[in-house]
Amino acid sequence: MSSKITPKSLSAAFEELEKIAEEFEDETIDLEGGIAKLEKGLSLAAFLKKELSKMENKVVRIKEKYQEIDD
Amino acid sequence: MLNTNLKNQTLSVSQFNQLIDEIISPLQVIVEGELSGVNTNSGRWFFAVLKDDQASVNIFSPLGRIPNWQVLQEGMRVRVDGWPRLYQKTGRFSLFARSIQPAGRGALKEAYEKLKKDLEVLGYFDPARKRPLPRLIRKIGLITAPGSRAYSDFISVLADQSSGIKIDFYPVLVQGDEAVDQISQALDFFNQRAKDYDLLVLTRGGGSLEDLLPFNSRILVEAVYGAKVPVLAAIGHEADDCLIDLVADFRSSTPSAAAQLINQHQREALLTIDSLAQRLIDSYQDQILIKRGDLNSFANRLTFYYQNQFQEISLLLARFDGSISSFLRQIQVQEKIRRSLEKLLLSYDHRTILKRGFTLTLDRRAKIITEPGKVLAGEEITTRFYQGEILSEVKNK
Repeated sequence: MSSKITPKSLSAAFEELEKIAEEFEDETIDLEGGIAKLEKGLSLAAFLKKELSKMENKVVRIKEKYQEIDD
Repeated sequence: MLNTNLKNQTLSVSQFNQLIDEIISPLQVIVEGELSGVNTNSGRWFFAVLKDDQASVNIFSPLGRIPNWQVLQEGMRVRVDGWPRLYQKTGRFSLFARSIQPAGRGALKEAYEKLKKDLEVLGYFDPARKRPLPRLIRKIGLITAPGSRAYSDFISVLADQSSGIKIDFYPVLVQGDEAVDQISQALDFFNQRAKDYDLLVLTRGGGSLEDLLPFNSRILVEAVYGAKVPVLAAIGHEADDCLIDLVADFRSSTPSAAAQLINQHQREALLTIDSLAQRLIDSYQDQILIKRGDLNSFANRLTFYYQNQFQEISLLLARFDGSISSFLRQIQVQEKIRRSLEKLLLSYDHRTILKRGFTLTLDRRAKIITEPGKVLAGEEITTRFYQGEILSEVKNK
């Protein structure tokens, strides 16, 4: 698994996990080939969970141009 | 003010128009009416028609003089503060506006209702055009006022849950004349980087209909309608829905509720990931069970086959066994019969009879004599015993 985490790579990981789950349910998988996919799917799930759970929400201010105004 | 000396004067058109303009332009008036035909296409001027049931008048002003032009809607009842003017070139009469203000809360409400109806007919609020949230929210564009309660509520509630969300905050004014412009710019900013964002959150705290004017302006409604990233609107309000609420893809009642909605979405994404992982494991286990079942059934079939074969061989052997015994039995029976027959045959042998003392009498041709008439007197006859013979001559008969 790549160490570089981008929004797209997480979405891609999610989609890949979904695809593997669907393949497992729709097709007859051979046990030997299946174990590699199972491992891949489970590591994707673990990766996604870790990334979604541990990261702090981070705020970046786009610009400081405007004066404060409260509502 | 009319110069009576003009009575006998002949004026050029230019002089006439200039004269009339000079006469009327010192009049400062406030005129109330319904706004229609709003046109700002030139980008520098605000043109519109002010009307009531029976009359209408053109109004105009440099856009810079009308800072709130973006919230002035068609059909809105307004008060125009200005001066009458005659455009000298064409003699066109109009009202030069110094300011245009909605004529009270009723006017805002009316304008709101009218715009809402118009936009509804155009399909702006159609649920079918609303976009779903992406599976995972990774990056949010936040549009709200810096230092506002809305900002701090949203950020702090979102922080209740670590969801790995990155927030790009675009500070804007959320009320006043510049709000529409700034929020439009923010939406533009995110549109240009649409592929980097999963969701835009446009939020502010509660306010009166007057405060919320920007969020009921056609310009902003259209900007949200055209946003390239799904928009979550959370505009606190007292009574009616903001038009921005209606056009946005998602809405929450408050900034906190918006953050809760996002947190819940992320929690659901986590659950989905868990359930996908579980589905993977279940499917794989199912496959193992199926394969094990196949193997068992193969083994059973094999055992069954051999059991069958074994039974057949046993049956065959049993049958073969039976045949041998019955064959042997038959041989025994036949042997007995043979022996009896032999005995019988033996009992019928003449020698056996001779043995018991009987004799046979034969003529010369060794033919058995069975009655006296068959021999003549003086004929030689042979008497045969069990052992030995006697030759005799018939004397008499």
